[in-house]
Amino acid sequence: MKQAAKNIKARVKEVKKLKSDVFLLRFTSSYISSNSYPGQFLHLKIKPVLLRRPLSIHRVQGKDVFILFRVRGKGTEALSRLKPGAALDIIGPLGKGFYVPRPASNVQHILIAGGLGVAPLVFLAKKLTETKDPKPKNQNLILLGAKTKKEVLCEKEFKDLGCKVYVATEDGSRGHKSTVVALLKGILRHTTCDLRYTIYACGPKEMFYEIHKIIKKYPGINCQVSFEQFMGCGLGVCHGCVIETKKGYKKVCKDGPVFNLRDIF
Amino acid sequence: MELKVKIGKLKLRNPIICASGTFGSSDELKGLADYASIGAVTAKTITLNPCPGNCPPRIYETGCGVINSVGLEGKGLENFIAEDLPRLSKVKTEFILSIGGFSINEYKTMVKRLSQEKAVEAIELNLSCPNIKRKKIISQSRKDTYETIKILRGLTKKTLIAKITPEVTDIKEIAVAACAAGADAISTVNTFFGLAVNIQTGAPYLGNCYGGYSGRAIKPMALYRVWKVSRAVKIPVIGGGGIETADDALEFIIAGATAISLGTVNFIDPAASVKILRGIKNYLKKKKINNINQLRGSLDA
Repeated sequence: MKQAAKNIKARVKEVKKLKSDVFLLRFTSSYISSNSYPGQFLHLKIKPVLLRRPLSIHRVQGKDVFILFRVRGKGTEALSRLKPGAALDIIGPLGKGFYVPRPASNVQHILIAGGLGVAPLVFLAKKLTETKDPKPKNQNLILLGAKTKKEVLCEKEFKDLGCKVYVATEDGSRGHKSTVVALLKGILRHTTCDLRYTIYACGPKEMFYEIHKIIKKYPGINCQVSFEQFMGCGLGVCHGCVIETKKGYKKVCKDGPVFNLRDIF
Repeated sequence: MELKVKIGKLKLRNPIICASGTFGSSDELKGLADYASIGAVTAKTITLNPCPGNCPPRIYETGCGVINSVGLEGKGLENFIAEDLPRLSKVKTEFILSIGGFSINEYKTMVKRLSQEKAVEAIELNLSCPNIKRKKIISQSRKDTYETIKILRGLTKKTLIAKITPEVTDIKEIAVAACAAGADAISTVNTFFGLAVNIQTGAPYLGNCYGGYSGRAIKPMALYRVWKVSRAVKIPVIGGGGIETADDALEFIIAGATAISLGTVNFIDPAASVKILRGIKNYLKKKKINNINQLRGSLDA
């Protein structure tokens, strides 16, 4: 089960540029690779910023850990410039990630990524594939949303895992000229009663709200979403990263980052 | 080498204290922190009743400091005593309880209640939270500071530490009033008021508009105030504000602090005390000082 977070010193193996502002960082840590599960995050100390930065675990492969990130400020900018061999100071794995249910033949998983929200979902898709019913009737569905073709991420990774991938772009330059929320609506409309859906989502808060509006009509659907918030300690002691839920303020770092969507709206 | 210091009746194995709000309410940091290298930990400020805290976002980083507007979120005194105190009592160092009231009566109730708890040796009166809506922060008024402490002093024999705000015209006056009212020690600084504006939206970054500013940016300001206060009062001063390294800590001790307080650095490195303690020891050895108390207030000015 879940192991305690540790302060890990590691070295950068590679920082790969995937898009103009999206990077993939790879490092080796047997502790993190063997003790983390999808949806958890790592808290990285990055010069020149003061506080650590929370970044979700993108994927684990053997002893290697991957972090997918977009350059958004000074911290991620510095992270994108790290060279192989550079020292990393990491606290992790942290937070409550996605709950992965026992395999069942009548369950279909739908993973919804808005933009860079795809980051923790590759790890999740891998876990769901591993824990799948040996005779799968239903492929895991991936809904990838992006502004344009250029911003579509990880399509190949999901396909390699045997998932069925639907892409929606705002300008229609790739896949459907639509949104992932509209795609979800379409899928659920054609639902059959012998199938139970489980939704996992990561992306902007507005997307969660739209998903919430849809699943209100389907009370049987379980929906887990991963939230973001400015963070202080990442360890649950500063109460800095709360979000509002139906049960009051909850800490994204400790009670989340993954929450049941029905507890939020 | 002697590192022990005394704050009222509380004996600390070394002068490192972890500040309230940065180290949890019980033993949350077990596994990451090294309690054996800490003189005392201060639990997150406890309120009498459960308190929801302020509207998020509550944290904003400036690059050299952090503005927070947590707003004393907590489970309330009785829940703290039932759930957190037993575990806090077991950590391998001394602890201080910080309390914050929304009225003098709340302070009185809490002090009376905590006086009955044997495990509790020291109470820090948070008279300086920048994030609660009240007319005035208690420690912004000499009179309010004096009267509050005087009343609470009459209710308990436990060590009382007054945590006061740097946001005053003359912090010395407030410290003198706290001392005259019977406080056993002064702790300062709490955070400075701070604001960050999102120029794209025209709105503040923090949900509660403004907050308390801490971190390396405030160190010189905090150091100046600790120096001023420690020259004005005879009781021990717990000094802090932006301390990250042993050198920072030593500056505060030379300026007059009996103990030093680690705050924001705990967010970045929960085991910061290990490095700081080692650095202090190395310094004393090099300078051939065998008692840390000899260094206190030795500023050559």
